[in-house]
Amino acid sequence: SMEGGGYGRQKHFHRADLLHGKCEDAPSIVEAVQFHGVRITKGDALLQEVAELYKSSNVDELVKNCHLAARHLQEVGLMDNAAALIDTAPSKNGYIVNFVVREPKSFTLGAKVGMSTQGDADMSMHAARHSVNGRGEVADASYTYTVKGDHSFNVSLSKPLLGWQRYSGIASSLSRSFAYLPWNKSNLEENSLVLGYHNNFWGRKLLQQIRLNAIWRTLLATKESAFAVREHAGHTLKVSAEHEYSFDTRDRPILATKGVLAKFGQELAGAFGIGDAAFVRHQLDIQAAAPLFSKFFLAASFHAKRIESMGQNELHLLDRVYLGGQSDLRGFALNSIGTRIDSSCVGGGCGVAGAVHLYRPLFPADSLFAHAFVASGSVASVRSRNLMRDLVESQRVSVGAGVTFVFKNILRLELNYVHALKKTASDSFSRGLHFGAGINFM
Amino acid sequence: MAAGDSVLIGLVEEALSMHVDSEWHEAKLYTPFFKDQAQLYEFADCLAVQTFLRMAQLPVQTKQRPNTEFISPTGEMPVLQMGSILIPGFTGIVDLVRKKDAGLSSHLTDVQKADMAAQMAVIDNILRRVEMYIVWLHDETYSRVTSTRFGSVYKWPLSSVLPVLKRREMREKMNTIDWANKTLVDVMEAADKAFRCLSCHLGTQDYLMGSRVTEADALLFGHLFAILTTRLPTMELSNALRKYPNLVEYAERVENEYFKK
Repeated sequence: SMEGGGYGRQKHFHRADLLHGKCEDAPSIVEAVQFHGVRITKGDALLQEVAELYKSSNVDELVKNCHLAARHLQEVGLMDNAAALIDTAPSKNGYIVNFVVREPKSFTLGAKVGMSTQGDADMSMHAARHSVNGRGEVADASYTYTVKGDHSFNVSLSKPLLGWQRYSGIASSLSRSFAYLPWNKSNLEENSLVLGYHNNFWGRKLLQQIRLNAIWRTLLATKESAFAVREHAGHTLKVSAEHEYSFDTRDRPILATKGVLAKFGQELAGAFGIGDAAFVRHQLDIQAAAPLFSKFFLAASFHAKRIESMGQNELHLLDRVYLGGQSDLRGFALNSIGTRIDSSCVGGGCGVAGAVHLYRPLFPADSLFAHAFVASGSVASVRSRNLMRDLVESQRVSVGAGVTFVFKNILRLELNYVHALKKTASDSFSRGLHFGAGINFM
Repeated sequence: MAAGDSVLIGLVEEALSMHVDSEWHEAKLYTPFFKDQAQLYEFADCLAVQTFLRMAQLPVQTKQRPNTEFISPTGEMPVLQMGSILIPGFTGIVDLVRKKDAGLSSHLTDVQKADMAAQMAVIDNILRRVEMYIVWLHDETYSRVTSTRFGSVYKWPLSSVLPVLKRREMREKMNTIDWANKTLVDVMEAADKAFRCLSCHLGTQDYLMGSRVTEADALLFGHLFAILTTRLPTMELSNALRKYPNLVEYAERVENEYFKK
């Protein structure tokens, strides 16, 4: 609430919850919206953000809308900090809204040591420029290299699409990477251009993502590669469009204690004969978590992926379905589940996997958890004639228990003792302790 | 005793030849696409290997692939695959066959073998390099023939980008052997010297090393046939070869002998 002040008198501001819910019948007219602390943010961007405020008809609505506007400014990255102060205006029922804001640091530079999704230590350096054109755009460049010699360089540009309660944006990125693929003992060079658009609906519960990819890959076989892998070596170009819808009510994506995730996506590559890779991919991910007795909670997840070649050639190795690794079927080597030839994995055309976890928080309660799990999955060959039969016959099951550590919603680390209940003779599975790091775990 | 000996020798020979046959099982030869992709020297080497295997009466199944360069462990083409063995290049394949005692030069003396190696070196070190120079470093040939052929197995934009990158790589390679700075005239002189040397050595004989075919004949035939039958913007190499009629007649004769019967 506020007091109108005359000249020379100090203004005192009070928290809005004093008035909240009590002023529905106090009419309000917004006379002006002012911003304090703006240097580079453009006026039209700010206008897009706060235009709706002028439509507030009573004080209650005004207070709520100001709060939403301030929060939105921070969430889309236009401002680092924003606080709304409502002041009375001289006219009858008139109010002036002042936003005290702090713009994001225009330039950030960082270096960090971390862990790649394959469990190798890596070091990355990045530079970012915020609000490049005054409308919340972010331009950033980063370079990462791992101890095993993989390295990648990425330049990306992203821009939020501003507007009242609008959470959408466009992004583009250009990157170049070099990595060793342990599951087929070969090296992969990739040069890629990705253009993306994302949008949130239904109170940010529904997310839509659309992406256009153009990726030039070079697969180079090594002395240890199987001939079946060599046959796919060389340059290929993948030009594809993909879209993904996800419904997410989980309380914390990195390790949910309650909520549901349902994600469905498709990718079409090689449309109109552009590029070498031509396929259609369908993917479904479902996760659910719920509390049980005492402090325990149960989480289950399901994943299904089907890739079908659309062209005359069989699916290229790099476009196939792989399973295995410390973030899905724990205990099996990364991407090692699929058709196996000479201790290499050449993937498959369809895969399903599921896992059930029982968690109990340890100390500290939101970072360290003990968990036990059962994970199962299988991949049917690219040439499979009876998918259901092949998926059922080649099922692998692993069980285990261990600890999970979640670091600030950024990274999840796991240390598990894993045992295989069911696997095929040629699988790359080792019983014992396994360490996993990453963001998306099944 | 003598009769028993010959039976024994016969049995041993049979066992050895069976050994070779059972080891020469389902051999596959990977080559680039002859019609649209293979460059002059690649076609020459692939044909040389095919001719050699015909001369040695070893059956092989030729498979044309767009990415043979990457299937090969060293980038050399063609690539012979037999079971888990993968051998790239003419020299490697000839060595493999010699190890299985199915080579064509076992009747030569050591001096003749050295001589044959010298003739093959002329083809390897001079003739093939001339071919590579014309294909990659001669501007007109590169822009009208080479770049289209190299990019023919890719879609745009790779079909435009990759030939440029490959040309840069070949120029580096030629630079390390000091051929990048030669002019076409220098290169043609070297070709002429090579042809003269080979023509001289062939003389009026049936084959390079006398009256029996050897590996050197396969290699020579491969390159001569490729030069005579490939149409390039510059016909200088083909014309230089036609100045030595015994080589042209030799190529026709080997073709009739091994490919038309």
